Parts: sequence; structure tokens; C-alpha cells
Amino acid sequence: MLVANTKYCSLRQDASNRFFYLHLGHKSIPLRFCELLAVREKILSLEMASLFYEESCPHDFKILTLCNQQHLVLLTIEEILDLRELLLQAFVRMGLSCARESVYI
Amino acid sequence: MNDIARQQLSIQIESMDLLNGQIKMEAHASAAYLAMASWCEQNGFFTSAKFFFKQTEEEREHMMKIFNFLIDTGGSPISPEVSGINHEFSSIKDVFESALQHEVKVSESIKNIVKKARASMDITTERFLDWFVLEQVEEENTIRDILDMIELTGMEGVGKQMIDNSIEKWIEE
Ligand SMILES: [Fe+2]
Ligand SMILES: [Fe+2]
Repeated sequence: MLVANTKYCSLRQDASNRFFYLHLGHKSIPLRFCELLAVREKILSLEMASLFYEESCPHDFKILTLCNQQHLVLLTIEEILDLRELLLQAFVRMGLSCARESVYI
Repeated sequence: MNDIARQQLSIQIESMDLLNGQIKMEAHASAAYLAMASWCEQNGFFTSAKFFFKQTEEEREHMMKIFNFLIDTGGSPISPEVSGINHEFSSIKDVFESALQHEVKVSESIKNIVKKARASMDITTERFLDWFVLEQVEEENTIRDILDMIELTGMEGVGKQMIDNSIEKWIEE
């Protein structure tokens, strides 16, 4: 079942095995809930302003490892912002967040 | 929406984020008190040092309380990074004044989380924080009393020694 989707990504959940599937372009990453929390943590804790500096994000993209380094993803700034939006939306849809804007610190 | 996620996590995700922030704050308090203990040791305030060693332990316990709450509720607690610990104080009064400042900040931060939890109907988090709200009243009060004592005693002559000896009273077993 679809939880949320945005321009470049989507999140689905499968009630039968309690897994979430994060689709990023051609890649589909299966996640347990705690792994989904870790992905959220990783994406939301990225300092947005720093993405626009050459050193931290050369050639406009960033390489991230997800799920204890099982997955390597390469995302453009636009995709990162999109994924961020997806994660915020997803937790609202799942009833675990009532904030449109994240209070993330 | 079939709530697999809700079955895994008993609190609101924003509460989790704020509590992770509070974990960091408690860790920072613990480290700040350790720096104060060090200053006291080096400046001959040995009883005050004992007081701050004990505070350090307490702050770590606060941190672990929140850490374990996040585990119990299915959240994801983050081990905090701590930096920017001040080691410089101009006097014993300065030490306790900055301790009070710290405690006030912590109290405000906890009340802020209570407010946000209440706004999102996260009763679990709100009730969990009851203990912290009352603990902060005690902690602020202790340090205020010590500052009053310092004021009354005065820092001239044997004053400093008398201040340090009096701290014993606030080191409960
Ligand atoms: Fe504390
Ligand atoms: Fe405290």
C-alpha cells in the first residue's frame, strides 16, 4: 500500500511482512520500521545549507549510505529535498506526526 | 492506513526528535558539571567538587532515563555529541551562577517539549516528562539556595572556605 509519494520517490508498506519499501528512481530499498527511522534521521539531519557548498556536495550530488551501509545511493540536491519532503509526508500519513514542518533539531 | 508504523512507535515522531535533543542537553549538562568539578578541585573547593561530581552522575541518569524511554516506545535514541564545554570561571560564585543558568535552560526546554507533546495529543510523552518537570524545580531550588548562601557568607577572607564547607549540606546521600 502506498504511504506517500513525491516527484522522485515513494514509500510503500507491505502489511504481510511489515516491511516498508522506499523507491528512489530505479532502486527499491526494503526497510524495517527501525531502518525507516534511521533513514529519516540521516536525511533530516543533513544540514541543508551545507549541500550548496562545493566541498560537501561536489557536482551537485551527494553519496549516502543507508541501512548500516547496505545501500549506497547517489542523490542530487533536488532529490534529497524531495526525499526529505517524502519522509515528512509519510510520518504525517502514518499518524505519527501532525506537523507539516519538521521540528527536527 | 493500516498502521504498522503506529504499532512500532508509541509516541509522536516530533516528540522523539525533541527527546533526542533533550538527551543531548542532559549529556551537555553532565559534561559541563564535570568541568565545574575540575575547576573546583583545582581551586581548592573540594566539597563543591564533590557536589559537581554527583551532579554529573545525576545528569547522566537523566539522559539514560530518556534514552531508555525512547527504546521502550520503539523510537530511535541517538548517542549525543557534546562539545563547547566551558572550563573557565572567575569565582566559585560564577561557577554556581552558570550552573543555575544551565538548569533554567533545561527546565525551559523540558516545558517546551511538554507543550509540543500536549499540542499533538502525545499523552505518553507528556506524562513521562512529569518527573522531569518536578526534578527541575528541585535542581533550580538547590542552586538558588547555594547562591543565597554564597551571598550571605561573602567571598572575603575565610568566606571562601566557609562557602565550600557549607556545600556539604546539599550533597544528599
Ligand atoms: Fe537533568
Ligand atoms: Fe540538572
